[in-house]
This record gives sequence, structure tokens and C-alpha cells, in this order.
Amino acid sequence: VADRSLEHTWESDYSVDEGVSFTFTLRLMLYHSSSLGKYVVSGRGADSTTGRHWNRGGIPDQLFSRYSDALRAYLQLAKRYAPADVIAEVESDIAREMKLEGGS
Amino acid sequence: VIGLSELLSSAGIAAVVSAGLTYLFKPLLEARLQRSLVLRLEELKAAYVAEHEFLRELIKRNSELYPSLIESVYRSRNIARELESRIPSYAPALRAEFGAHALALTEGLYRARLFLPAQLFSPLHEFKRAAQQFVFEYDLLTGPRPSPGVTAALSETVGKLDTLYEEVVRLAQEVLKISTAKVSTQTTGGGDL
Repeated sequence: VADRSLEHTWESDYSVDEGVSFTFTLRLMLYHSSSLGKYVVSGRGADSTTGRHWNRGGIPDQLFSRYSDALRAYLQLAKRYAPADVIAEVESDIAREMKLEGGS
Repeated sequence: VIGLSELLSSAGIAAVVSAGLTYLFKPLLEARLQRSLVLRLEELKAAYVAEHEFLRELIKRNSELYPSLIESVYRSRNIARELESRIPSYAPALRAEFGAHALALTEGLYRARLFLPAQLFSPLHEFKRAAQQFVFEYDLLTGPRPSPGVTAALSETVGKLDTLYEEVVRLAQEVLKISTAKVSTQTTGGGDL
């Protein structure tokens, strides 16, 4: 299962000054790092308009030896930061991955 | 007997020569010793002045840097509380003010890095990261599609800002030797200041 990965992306608006809003893209990722020998769960954001980075080190990457543990952490991260429709999508993908994990 | 007489004679001559040399070179030796002592004294004086100047500069810098850092920490902690209490409505002026303080804190940390002891730099750095995290979560929460879980995340971050604020102020007072002891209100027994 080492090469399995997940990624979910969504956009959100924010206002810095009244009447001026920007859009940033938030991305959740689960991937296997061959150099670390672990699964990495991370959440990052970037402002597509200004190039400003969000969450540079704000949510630290989480490392896991077991894929199933990484899947659970990924779901927790989604529930914390993603909107409801993305959470539903993540839950569906996690259920599928868990089934594959159980069958492998 | 002859041998003894020669020996005594040689010893006498040696003593006379030695005394003569000492007499002749005594002022020279004393002058050299004096010069050496004066040089050492000058070195010690210079080292003392340099250290004194360094400490004075350190105190001057600290007295300029610490209050502005603590002000940013204090104000941003209070604004974070206020912003949280106004959720779900978005408060643009306060949000901008919080951003300004978070930025001032970041810049202040860069400027003060050299003069901040590790035990103070660490919680200040943590506070700065928590402030950035707060901005991230606040913008998500007040955005058009907030996550149901981000409210709890924001509350945790506000709690972290509170804890770190207390720690930063306490450590800064320790570093600057500011007494936090309260004056006793008792009329007997004296104060505990």
C-alpha cells in the first residue's frame, strides 16, 4: 500500500479589508514519503491571487507508519478544516481505502 | 685549607658581584615591573569599560524591544478573544488590527532575535505561530463555506494564545527583573515587595 495517496482541494474566500476579498486554495494530502519511510498527512493553503501562503507550519505534518492510522488522521483533519461537502467526499474515499486496506 | 680559602674567596666575590648587579639593575627591573602592571591595569580597565558598554547597550535595546513585543502579544491576545466572541459575524477592522499586531510581532522577533534569551524566544515564537494559526482559522470560519470543525480549532488556538501570553509576560518580567509581587495590604508584618 506504500504508493497510495489521497488529495482533496477546495477554495475559500477571505476579506482583508472591507470590500476586498481574496481566494485561497486549501489542500489536504496523504502520501508516502520514501525518504522518511512513513505516511505523511498534511494540510496546506495558498492564496492564488497574491501568492501568499497559508498555514506555513501552522498545522504540522503528521507522520504514520500504518496506512490505516494515516487515513484516520486525514479524516480528522478534514473534519476540522474542510467544508461539509468536502468532508462527505473524504469520508467516502476513506471508507473505500479502508476496505482496500482490509482486503490487502 | 688552600681549597677552602679559595672557595670562600670565590663565594665572597660572587656575592659581591651579585649584590652589585642587583643594585645596578634594581631600578631597571622595578621600572619594567611597573610598566607591566600598568599595561595589565589598562587592559582590565578597557575590558571593564567594554563590558559595561555592552551591558548598557543590552539594557537599552531590551527596554526598547521588550515593551513593543509584549504590547503586540497582549493586544493580539485581547483582539483574538474579541474576534472569537463576535463569531459568526466578521469584524474587518479588528481582523486587520490583529493582522497588524501579528506582523509587528513577527518583525519584532526578527529584530530582537539576537538579544532574546532562548527561554523567552521559544514561547514568543510559539505565540507568533499560534497567531498565524488564528488568522488561518478565523478566515476559514468566517468564509463562505466554513468547516463544522473549525470553531473548535479556533477555540483551542485562542486557549493556546491565552496560555502563551501568560508565559511570555512572566518570562519577560523574570528576564528584566521586574518584580510582580503585590504590596501587602496588612498594616503589620511589613510588605512582601
